Amino acid sequence: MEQRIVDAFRRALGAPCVITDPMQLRTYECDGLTNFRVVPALVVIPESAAAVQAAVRICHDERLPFVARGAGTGLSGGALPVAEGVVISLTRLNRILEVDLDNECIIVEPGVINAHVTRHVSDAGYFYAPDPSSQSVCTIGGNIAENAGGAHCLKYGFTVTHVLALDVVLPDGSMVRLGGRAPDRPGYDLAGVFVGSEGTLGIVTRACLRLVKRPATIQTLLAAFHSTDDAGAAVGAIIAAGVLPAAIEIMDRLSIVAAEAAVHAGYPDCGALLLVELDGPASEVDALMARVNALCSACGAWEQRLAASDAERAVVWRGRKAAFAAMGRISPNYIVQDGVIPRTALAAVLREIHELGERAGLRVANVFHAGDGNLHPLVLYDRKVPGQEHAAEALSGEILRICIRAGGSITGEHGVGMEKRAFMAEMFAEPDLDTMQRVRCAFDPQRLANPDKVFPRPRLCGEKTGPYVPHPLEVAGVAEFF
Amino acid sequence: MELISPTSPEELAAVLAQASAAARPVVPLGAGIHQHLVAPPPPDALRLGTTALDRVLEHVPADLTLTVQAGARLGQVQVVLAGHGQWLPWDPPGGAAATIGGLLACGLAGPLRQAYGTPRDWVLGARIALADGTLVKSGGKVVKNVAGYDLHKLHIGAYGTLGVIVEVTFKLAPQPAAWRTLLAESADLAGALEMAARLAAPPLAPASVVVCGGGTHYRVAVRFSGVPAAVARQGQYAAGLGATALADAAAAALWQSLSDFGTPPDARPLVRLGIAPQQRDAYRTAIDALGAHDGVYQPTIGAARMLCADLAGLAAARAIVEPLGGAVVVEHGAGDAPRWGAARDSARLMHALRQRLDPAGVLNPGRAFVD
Ligand SMILES: Cc1cc2nc3c(=O)[nH]c(=O)nc-3n(C[C@H](O)[C@H](O)[C@H](O)COP(=O)(O)OP(=O)(O)OC[C@H]3O[C@@H](n4cnc5c(N)ncnc54)[C@H](O)[C@@H]3O)c2cc1C
Repeated sequence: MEQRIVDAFRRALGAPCVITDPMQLRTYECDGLTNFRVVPALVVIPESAAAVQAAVRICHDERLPFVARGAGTGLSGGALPVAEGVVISLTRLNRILEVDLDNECIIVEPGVINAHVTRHVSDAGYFYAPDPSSQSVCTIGGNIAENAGGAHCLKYGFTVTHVLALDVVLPDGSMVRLGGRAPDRPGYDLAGVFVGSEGTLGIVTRACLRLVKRPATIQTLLAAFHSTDDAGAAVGAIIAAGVLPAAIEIMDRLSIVAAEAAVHAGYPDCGALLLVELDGPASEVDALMARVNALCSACGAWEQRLAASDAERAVVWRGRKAAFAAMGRISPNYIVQDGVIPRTALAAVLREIHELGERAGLRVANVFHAGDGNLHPLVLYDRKVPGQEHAAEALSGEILRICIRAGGSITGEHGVGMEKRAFMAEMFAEPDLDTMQRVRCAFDPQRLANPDKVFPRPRLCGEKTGPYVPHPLEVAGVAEFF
Repeated sequence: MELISPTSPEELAAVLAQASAAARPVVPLGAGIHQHLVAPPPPDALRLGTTALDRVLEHVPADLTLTVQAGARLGQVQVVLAGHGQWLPWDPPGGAAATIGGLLACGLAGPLRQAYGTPRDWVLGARIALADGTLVKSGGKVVKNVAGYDLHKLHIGAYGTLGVIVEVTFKLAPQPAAWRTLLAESADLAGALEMAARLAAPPLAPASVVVCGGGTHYRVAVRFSGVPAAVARQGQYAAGLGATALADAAAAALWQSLSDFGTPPDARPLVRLGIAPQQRDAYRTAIDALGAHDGVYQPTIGAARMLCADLAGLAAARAIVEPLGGAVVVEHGAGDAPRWGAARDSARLMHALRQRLDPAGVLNPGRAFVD
C-alpha cells in the first residue's frame, strides 16, 4: 500500500492503531474457515466510533476495499481479508456503554464479547438470549453481521430479534442510526436488512440490545430412541402440541458413539438421542415436561432421564456440546456442514444423506438443532486415502442441494461468506440475487464493504469447502461447536 | 381511476412492467381498507388490485408454516388455520377483511404485540413484484435461514413503495389452550396508565395490555394466554390488583373493537404516536398536547392511536416526541398538516433504496414518507 495512504491512516487513528508489519498482518489472514487465506495490505484497530468513521472515510476516498473483523470465529470466511484492502478490527471497541434494566436493554460497542453481555447483567437476573456456542469469544458485531443463532434461539429468536437499534458507519464514511426503540416509526426496516448482511453494508459501531429475564426453572430431558425417525417424530409431536422448548436437539448413533468415546457422558446405548430443554415458571415447566414425557413415550422412547439441577444438566449437555470435536475419535478428518430443512422433511432427508454416504463409501454423523430443522451433518473421511477428500467435499456440497430441494436453506447460522457463494445461485434465482445487489448498491455504490462475499461470481465458481480444521479456540477448550 | 385485478403474480408483474415503462403511477390495492393511511393517489394512477390473488398456497401444519397469496384476507386465513388449532398471533386494525399484503405494507399490528411481537417476527419470506416487473423472492420457508439479505423485511411498513407483495410465508403458532381477560377502570389517564404498567409487570406476562377511553372514563383491558393453570394463576393475580374478569364473548367483542379502533376512520383526525416505552413522561405529555377525544393506548409498548378534535397540538406533540427518537403520524384527516413528521437521519438511505428498487418512481409516488 502506498506510504501516503498508510500515513493518512496513522494521522487519523494514531500510529499504534495501524498495523503494517507483515508478520502481524498474517495473523489476520483467515477466520474460523482456515482453508481460505489472504494477507491484507493493512490492518487498523480503531479505538472509537469516530476512528472507525475516519478509517472508512480514507478507504472511501482512496477506493480501498475494507473488511470488518470481530473475533474472527466466523465459519464461512466472512472476515477473510481482501489482498489490496484494509481489515478494520473492532476488538478495541469493547465497552459496555449503558445498562437500562428497567427497560430491559443494554447499549454496547461491537467488540464486546457475546458472553460478557450476559455476565454483566446476570446478577440482576437477566441474560442476552442469542447463544452461539462460540459465545465466550465471538463479538456482538460479528453476531449482528451473521445474525448468529444458538441452541436456545428456538424459543428466544435469533440475533435479529434482539437488536433494537444500531449505529452504523456506511461505506461512504457517514454515520447513521438504524432502528430504534420507538414502535411504528415511519421508515423502511433498515436495521432488519442490515442484521445478517455479513459486513457488506457497513460497520456497526454501537448496538442497543434487548435483555431477557432469566427463567425461574430449567429442566432438561434426555430421551433414547431406536432411530432418528422416531426421535424426529417426537420433535414434531412436541411442537404440534404447542410446547415451545428452549432447546431441542438430536444426536444420531454415530455422534453418540463419538461423544461417548470423547467425554463419557453416560448416554444410553441407542439409535438416536433427543434432548429437550424447557424453561419458565416452575408450575408451567412441570406440567409441560409431563406432556413431553408422554409424547416421547408415544413415539417410542425407551428410556427418559430428567436433569433438573445445574450439575445434572451440565452432564446431559456435555456430550452434545462435545459432539463435533469428538468426531476426531472416530475419523481422522471431517467436514462440518450447516443446512436447514423443514422439520417434516427430517426423516426423508436423513435417509437421503445416508444413502449418498453409502454410495460414496463415507460415513456421515448427524447432530442437529431439531426444533428449527438446522442440520449439522459431519462428513467423515481420511485425507490419506486417495480421492476421499474430494469425495467428502462433493458429498458435503450434495447435502446442501438436498436441503435446497427439501425447501430449506444452505445456511442456518454460519453464513454464506466466501464458502457458499456458489450455492447462493442454486438457492436463489438470478433476479433474486440482483435485487439483493440493488439493495447493497443503495448502501455501498462503490462496493467497498466486504466486496467479495455472499454473492456468487461465476468465474470463482466451484469453490472448495475443505476439511474441517478445529478452530484454535476449540482445541484450547474455550469454545465448542454445537 | 382504472382498476386492474390480475389473477396471477406474472400478470401483476407484467402490469407493473408496462407502468414503469410508461412512467405511469401505480396504486397497489388490497381490500382498500387502509388507503387513508397514505396521501391521496395521483389522479392518473392505475389501481392494481391484489384481491384476485387470494389463495392459500401451502399450509404445512406439522411445520407450522403457511404460504399465502398477498390478496388473501387475514380473517379468512385465520379461519383456515383455526381448523388445525393454529393461528397467526396478529390482530391489526381491520384485520378481518383486510388483505395480508396490505396489512404488511402498512406495517400494522394490534394489541397482541405485547407478547407476540409484530409481523416482522413471523414473516419467513416473501415473493415480490418489483416496479420493473421482475418477480423475486427473499427468505424462505424455514424458520432458520441466514442465506442472503432478508429483503422481505424491507416491504413491511413500506406502504408499497419498494414493490408489490404477491406471496408471503409465515411461521405459525399453535393456538393457546386458554385465555382470560380482565378489566379495570380509572377516571383519569394517569391512573389508567399506572394500572396498565402494574398489569404488565412480573410475575404477570400478559398477551395484551391496553388502555382505552377518554375524558373522565378510561378502561384498562388485560388478557392472558397459554397453559390453563398458568392463565388461571395470572388471572387471580391480576384480580388481586383490582381488575375484574370478563366473560369470553364480551372479551372477544372488546378485543375486536380495540384492534379496529379508528378503522374505518370518521371525520376526526386519527393520530398515531410511537415512542420508546421508557419515556413515560413524554408519552403522557404528548398525548395531553394532542388533546385526544378517544384513544387506544399501549403504554408498555410506547404506542397510541387517538381520535382528536383537531391537529392544533400536533407540532407541540412532535416537539416532545421527535427529539427522543419517536414519531407522531397523522393516519387520517391530515388536511394541510404534515402527515409523517420529521425525516429520520437514515432518510437519505431510504431514498437511495427507493431509487434502486423503483427507478421510475411509479409505486405510490408522493403518498408515503419517502417522497
Ligand atoms: C467453535 C465455534 C462454534 C461456533 N458456533 C456457532 C453457533 O452456535 N451459532 C452461530 O451462529 N455461529 C457459530 N459460530 C460461528 C461464529 O462464531 C459466528 O458467526 C460469530 O457471530 C462470528 O463473530 P466474530 O466476532 O468472530 O466475527 P468475525 O468472524 O470476525 O466476522 C464475521 C463477519 O462479521 C463481519 N463483522 C464483524 N464485526 C462487524 C461489525 N462491527 N460491523 C459489521 N460487520 C462486522 C465480518 O466482516 C464478517 O463478515 C461458531 C464458530 C466457532 C469457531
